[in-house]
Amino acid sequence: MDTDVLRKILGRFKLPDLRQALEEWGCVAVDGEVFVGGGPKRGVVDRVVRACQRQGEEIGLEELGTLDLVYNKMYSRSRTWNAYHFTGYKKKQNDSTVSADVFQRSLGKQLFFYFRHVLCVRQYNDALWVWLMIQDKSSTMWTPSNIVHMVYYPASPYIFTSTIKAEYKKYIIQALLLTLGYSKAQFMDLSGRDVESLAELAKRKHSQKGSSRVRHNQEDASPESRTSRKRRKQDEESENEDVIPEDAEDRQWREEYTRDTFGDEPQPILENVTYKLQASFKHGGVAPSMDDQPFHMTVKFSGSNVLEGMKALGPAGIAEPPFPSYLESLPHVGKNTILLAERRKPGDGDDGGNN
Amino acid sequence: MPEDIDTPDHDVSTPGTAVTSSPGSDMNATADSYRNTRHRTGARDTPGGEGRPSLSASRLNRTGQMGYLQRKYTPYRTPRTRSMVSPAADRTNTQEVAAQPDWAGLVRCSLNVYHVTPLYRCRLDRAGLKQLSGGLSLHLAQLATVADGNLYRVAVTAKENTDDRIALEITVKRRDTTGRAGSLYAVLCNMEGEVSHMEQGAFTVLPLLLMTGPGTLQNAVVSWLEQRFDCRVCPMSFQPSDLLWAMALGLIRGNNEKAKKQTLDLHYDVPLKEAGLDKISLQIPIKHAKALLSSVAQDTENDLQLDELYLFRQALENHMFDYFRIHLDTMKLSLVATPVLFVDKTGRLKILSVDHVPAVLRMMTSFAFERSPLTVSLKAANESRW
Repeated sequence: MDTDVLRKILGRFKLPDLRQALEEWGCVAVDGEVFVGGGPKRGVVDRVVRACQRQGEEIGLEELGTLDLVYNKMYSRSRTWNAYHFTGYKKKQNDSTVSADVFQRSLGKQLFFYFRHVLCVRQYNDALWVWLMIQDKSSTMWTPSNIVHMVYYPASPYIFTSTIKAEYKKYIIQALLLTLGYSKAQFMDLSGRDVESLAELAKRKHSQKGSSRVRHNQEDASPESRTSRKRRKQDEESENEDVIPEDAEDRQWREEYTRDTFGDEPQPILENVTYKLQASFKHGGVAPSMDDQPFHMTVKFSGSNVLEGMKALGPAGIAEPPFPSYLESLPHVGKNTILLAERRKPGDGDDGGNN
Repeated sequence: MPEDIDTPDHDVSTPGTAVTSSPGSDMNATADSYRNTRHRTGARDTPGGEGRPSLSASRLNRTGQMGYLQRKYTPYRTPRTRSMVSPAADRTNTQEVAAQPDWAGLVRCSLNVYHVTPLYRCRLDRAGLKQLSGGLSLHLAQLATVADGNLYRVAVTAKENTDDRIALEITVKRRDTTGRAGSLYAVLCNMEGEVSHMEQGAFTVLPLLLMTGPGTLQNAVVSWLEQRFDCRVCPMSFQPSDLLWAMALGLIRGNNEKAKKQTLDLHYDVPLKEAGLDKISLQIPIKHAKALLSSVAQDTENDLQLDELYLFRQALENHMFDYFRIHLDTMKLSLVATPVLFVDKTGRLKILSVDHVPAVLRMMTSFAFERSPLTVSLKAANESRW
């Protein structure tokens, strides 16, 4: 058993989470005494490691992998996830998507053709969390650079993975396609840190916009909630009656526009939204000699929750409604990186085409 | 616009000039009037613009007359024009390379920029430098809590430039590790202004301090400088217009060798941090940025005007508004990155190529001059004597 690796993984957990993690892991019977001692985390980790050594069961790579999976589930926000979309569903293999064990077995079988690996799959809520480590040379070494994490929602054609090394990517994708019964996988230009938000955005992309506003939590089904929210807002603003906002009309118009466009409910969390703009330069008369020259610009919005921030741009006065279509439809388009290129047709005006 | 707050851009004595020049037809007219302004008031060399010999009283009176323009009393004016090309004496020629001091220590590391008031009693001869080294190592030993007081090896040297300028170079190395990890390197220099004004009696004017190294060491060196030379060392922060100058420098002096994707990066701070949006960054390929700059500026090399940079910025704002309906001018520019240099508003600087170090230092020195009124008033006092 590799105590160093075990110690390293256990050390990554935060102390309050360690207990829950060990319970989820289930490989070692830990009694409360280990934690009662208090003190620094290192001491607790040492005690756990000793308990593992004492108990006699071998903690091999698979068990370590499961522990890593538990860590990843708990701290999934520290990793960047990329979304892939499967197409071309073939009817035959439905069963493999149902339970974690079945999935593990069939995926393992497919991957076995390409390389030696260690695979762990667990089910949390309604998603399958997968941990995969590819071993290139020896079969007992822990190679952290070859670890791939994946989250798969069964019965949906999406999968979210951490970054995969280029050399292994096509094999892993191929194995997934064969296991799940699809014929093609495509990277949606969607990546972020919060898996649930990514899943939400991916789901939104492929559903009808109009009829599903309620489903997307943009309009709240219950009529009560809206009035209570309005009342709350009015309470805040009517505290000081001497203050007469001059721009009340303007503010209200902006709020209404934002509410209509984006909805009331909180938006899924994205960290970066990038627009690659390759259209003609609208300098507004400042630089007339640049009229015929190409001008490319990449605009990147970044922050802790970009979609919420963009919602707040209108009411804050930084942006001027009405927004262009590619900003308005951002929560529905299911992409992080959007290319806006001009269709170069002779005689046609500037038509920003969404690519 | 969230403009420069403490540096007075508006020339008090110039009639009716607005910074936000309306684009298009007005461009040539305003550009001309600004150029005339420059000749009349003399951007940098004669602060106050009228060339009057006496200092404070007359200038205070003048601002008192223009009662409706209650401006802060700052006798120094931001230059509206800068030259992006080094003066002939400094131009890097292959023959002169040997005479250039070695600035390699400043390249490719993250520098913190400080501005320093004049140093009192700084002897730059060999004996003086030895004293300084000893003083600094003693100071560091006092501050160190480790029993081993000889952890650091200190060297204070002087660097000579081609035109007899002297820069002070401080190196603090750890004795146990080799290489640059954990060691500090600092340069105190003055790359602007006439050389004869560097010594003002007992004072030495070296207003620019660039330091790289661990934070605790930096604080220790700063406290030693303040103690030894009776000066004030303040971290420098850059206003958006300073960042624009730095961007222009980076654009004009870009190196064309690498075929790798070279972009001009501009980061804007969005005041919606709690809502979730932190910053908006624009990335423009260098080619297009250069084309834009040369289309708004008449003479990019020698006589770049601040208003031309404002036009550049306005073009970008218009473009952004047209496509995204976002008013970029409500937000402050906080970071500029070009293939040559990287500057951000908190005073961090990174120079990526050793050829451009003198030019960057010159620009930073002029920024430092604009910020320390003591230096400026000394200069003015000196000029009034002549």
